Amino acid sequence: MSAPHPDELTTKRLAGLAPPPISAAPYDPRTGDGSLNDDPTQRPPLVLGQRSFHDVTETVCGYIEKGPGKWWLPAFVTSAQVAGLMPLMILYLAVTGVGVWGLNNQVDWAWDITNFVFWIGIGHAGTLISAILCLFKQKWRTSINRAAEAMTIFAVICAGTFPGVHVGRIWMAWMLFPIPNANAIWPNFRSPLLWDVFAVSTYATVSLLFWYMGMIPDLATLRDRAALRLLRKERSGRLPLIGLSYDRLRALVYGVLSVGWRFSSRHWLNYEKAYLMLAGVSTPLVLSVHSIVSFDFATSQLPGWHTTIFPPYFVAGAIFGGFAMVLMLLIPSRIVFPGMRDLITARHLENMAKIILATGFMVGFAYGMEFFIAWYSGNSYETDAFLYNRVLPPFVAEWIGSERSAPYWWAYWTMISCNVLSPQLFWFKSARRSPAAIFLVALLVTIGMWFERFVIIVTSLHRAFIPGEWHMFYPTYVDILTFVGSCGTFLTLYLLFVRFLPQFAMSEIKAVMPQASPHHHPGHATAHAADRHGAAHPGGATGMPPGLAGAAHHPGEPLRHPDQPKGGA
Amino acid sequence: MTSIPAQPHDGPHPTHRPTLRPHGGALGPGEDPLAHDNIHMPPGWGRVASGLLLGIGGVSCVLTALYPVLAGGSGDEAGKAAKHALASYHVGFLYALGLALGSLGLVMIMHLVKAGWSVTMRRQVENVAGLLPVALALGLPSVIFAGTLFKWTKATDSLAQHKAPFLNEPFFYARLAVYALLWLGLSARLGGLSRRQDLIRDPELTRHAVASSAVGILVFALSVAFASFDLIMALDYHWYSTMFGVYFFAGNMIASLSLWALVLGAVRAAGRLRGLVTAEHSHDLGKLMLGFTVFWAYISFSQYFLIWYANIPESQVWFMVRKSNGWENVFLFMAFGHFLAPFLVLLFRDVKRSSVVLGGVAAWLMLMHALDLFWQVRPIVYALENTGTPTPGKMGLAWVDVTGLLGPVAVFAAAVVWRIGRGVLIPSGDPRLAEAIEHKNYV
Repeated sequence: MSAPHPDELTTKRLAGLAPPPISAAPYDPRTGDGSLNDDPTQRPPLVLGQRSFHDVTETVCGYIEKGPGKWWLPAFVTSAQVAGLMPLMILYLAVTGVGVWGLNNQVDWAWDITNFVFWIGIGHAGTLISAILCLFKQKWRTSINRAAEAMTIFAVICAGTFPGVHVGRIWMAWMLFPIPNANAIWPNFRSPLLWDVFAVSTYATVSLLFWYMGMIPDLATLRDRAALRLLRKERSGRLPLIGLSYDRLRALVYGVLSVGWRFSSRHWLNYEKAYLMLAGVSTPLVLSVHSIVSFDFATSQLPGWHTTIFPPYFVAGAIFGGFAMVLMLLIPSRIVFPGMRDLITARHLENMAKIILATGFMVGFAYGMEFFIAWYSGNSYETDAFLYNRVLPPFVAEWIGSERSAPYWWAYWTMISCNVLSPQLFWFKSARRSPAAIFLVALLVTIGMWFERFVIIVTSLHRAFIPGEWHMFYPTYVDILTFVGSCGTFLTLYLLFVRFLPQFAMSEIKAVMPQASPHHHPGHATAHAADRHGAAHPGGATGMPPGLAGAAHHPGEPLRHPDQPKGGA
Repeated sequence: MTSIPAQPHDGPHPTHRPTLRPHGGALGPGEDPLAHDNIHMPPGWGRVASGLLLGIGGVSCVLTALYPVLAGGSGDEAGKAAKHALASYHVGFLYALGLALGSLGLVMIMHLVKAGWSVTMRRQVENVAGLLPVALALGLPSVIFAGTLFKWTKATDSLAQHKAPFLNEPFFYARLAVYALLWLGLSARLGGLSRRQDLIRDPELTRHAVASSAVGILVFALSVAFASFDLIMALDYHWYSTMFGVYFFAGNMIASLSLWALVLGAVRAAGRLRGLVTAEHSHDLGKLMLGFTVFWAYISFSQYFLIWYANIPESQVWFMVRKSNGWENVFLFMAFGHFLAPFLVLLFRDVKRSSVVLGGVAAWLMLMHALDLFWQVRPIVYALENTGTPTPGKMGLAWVDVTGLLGPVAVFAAAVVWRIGRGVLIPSGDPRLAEAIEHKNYV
């Protein structure tokens, strides 16, 4: 807690008096990288390695300006090719019809809507981290919110595609919108499917605004850094053919995107207020979107779909799946961007692992309640939908002498083992603290959450009330490749994000660093450390509001030369 | 501790005008927030109020017990009157139980998220959770007369037979005993750890509390959900809703948070916890109340909406009874009184930062929670006489509805007041105490 003042540290470093910043603090068996301190008298640091504010800016902007590394281009090309499968398969679907999918008379929703719910669920973590954790003042969120928000946007893009194409005639998708009567067709306002259109598009719009607005100060930093290099006549690469220097392009593009941001305190004040209000608006949205998605099913009378716990259960599942995806993106990021290990510490991963465990129990609770009430209701259709559509494997049926068994038992038990059993690993501290174990569980959870939607949709549909209506669903290669393509699209967009946009909310991270605290004065820090109980000062940034602290020390501001034209739009 | 004489309290404290002082700075210069006087109630505080409440509660309970006799009638009429008295009492018991359970949940959640801001307030919520034995004891009449209260004990239709493996008397009592033991164990463990920390100031105990809460919250979630099935949902064994456990939890949380706000308001009004619980803490407590008001509305609306939309008779039955014979007015009123009005009022910053105004909102929300429980439980008399089908009936409001509810609630309130006056007002050995004292909102 007694880190030197950033200005002092930077000055010393420039003069060669202080060592360069330590990347990834040395491993300590007790505290891991230094952030895994369980002592209740202290709050573990959120940024490691004695970073100054300038270091944070250098780390975050450096990966954009110098490029993420040699791995990026091959990764991008590969994922872009996989992404190409999606438009290809959709084209095939559009010119041929939904017969190219494995649908049949009974199972008329299958992979399309499963994929939709899967992706929209993943799209919940970003706004949850940004909005709800912001309202809960969870300071650790500042290191992960930007990447999670970006992920949200990309997941919603993938999600939105599926309902748009799922009836095959994609040129009729405009009829989803409440356009006044053109063809004597009005949208059915009593249908949850229509509410879904509103819910998802509202969510996409607000999430995009939230993400972009949060990024403006960081974009302005990128603009100013490029402009400063131009002013100093530092050489940067040039675009082929046109010969425009990269820095000029950066100053231009980031300048337009940062809409005239000048780091003035008036700007910060408005920014803070807008951020808080957007957080307030987004919070009910996080709940409403997936609740309305759950209404798509729960308002029906179909056994397995009509159950009152669906709304909160879907929301919990979405957060569960969303956090798993955030982990699956951030853990590799810590490897390919080593400088980030000081920002995304082992504590961040552990916190997310705990959220996975907690939300895993919530979905487990819902599975249990559904199953219990299916029996308790005394409704034989409801019981059958569970027992003979989902749960009972043929070999167990044979063993207990039941003539009927559930053909989709493997999907149900995949869901249970991935979503309920695998997170139990996180009861062990060693598992919560091992990035490899967390990655594995996150992967299993992602698989499990896809299967959850498959179980809900396909197993409930494939056997309805009359045996004559019973049909199995088998996916075709088009089904499979469209989904694979959507994964490629998601990854491609994410790779573009890490290449060109700041992956961290720099100002917010700076606000939770110890230097941002008004109590933080190098000489005076120890006087504060001991209170009457001998408990150490809770430390960390109990101080200035986020943003203001960033403004006071923001590297963008002092760098601007008076003669330099304002870089904004 | 007892040797320190009572200090005369000097007039209204600045804490009463917190909105004018952004940080509720009620401490004079150099004054120690942890002075003995600041973290203990004046000796004898609340003795009168507690006695009065106990008296009211006792008289109400006696009147409720005598209702079948006082209301007159014989045979069928008397049986109905007995059921009426019991149903009203059951509401009161569930209310007290919900306060203790919600508080227990709050304690565990605060430990699990390692909350720093609320440490100076936590003892009050631990105290209410520690009164679980009182709440459970108040449930004895409901359990003893379960045969009158719960139709399934006498039902013989096919549905009752189907549910018999779950809804049979031995298993029912066994379940209730298990819930009670689990809850008592949890509240004793967490309360005990916190009070031991007052004495030995060992930060290690905080980690024990976190570990106990991690296991405890699972036990708690399942037991509370099943208790809601047993104590409320099974009143009409025909009906079922997977959401019901969450609905019960949501209502309890609002009531417990509101009680917390009221208790803190009372303690601050007595001039205690100066500089420890300020407008900043009140502000955040108000935010939680706002959040759970919305959560309750979300859960109760979703439950109602999905059943209304699908319109399947067997799941409609619950609402059919509760939307007829005058109960529809209660139902509609809750949409405004339990959600819209408190939601709009709690949006205001000044409301949340004033312990007096927040206390008013809290009292209103507690009243609304009582109405919610009353609306859930009481229609089993008069409105739902025949099995499973709503019959034309009446609300049949009588004075016993007041005494039945007031009896257990007033007894529990007496216990709460008595508990505040005993012991330290804060977990004085908690390692995060400094963090809570420095807590600021900055908005």
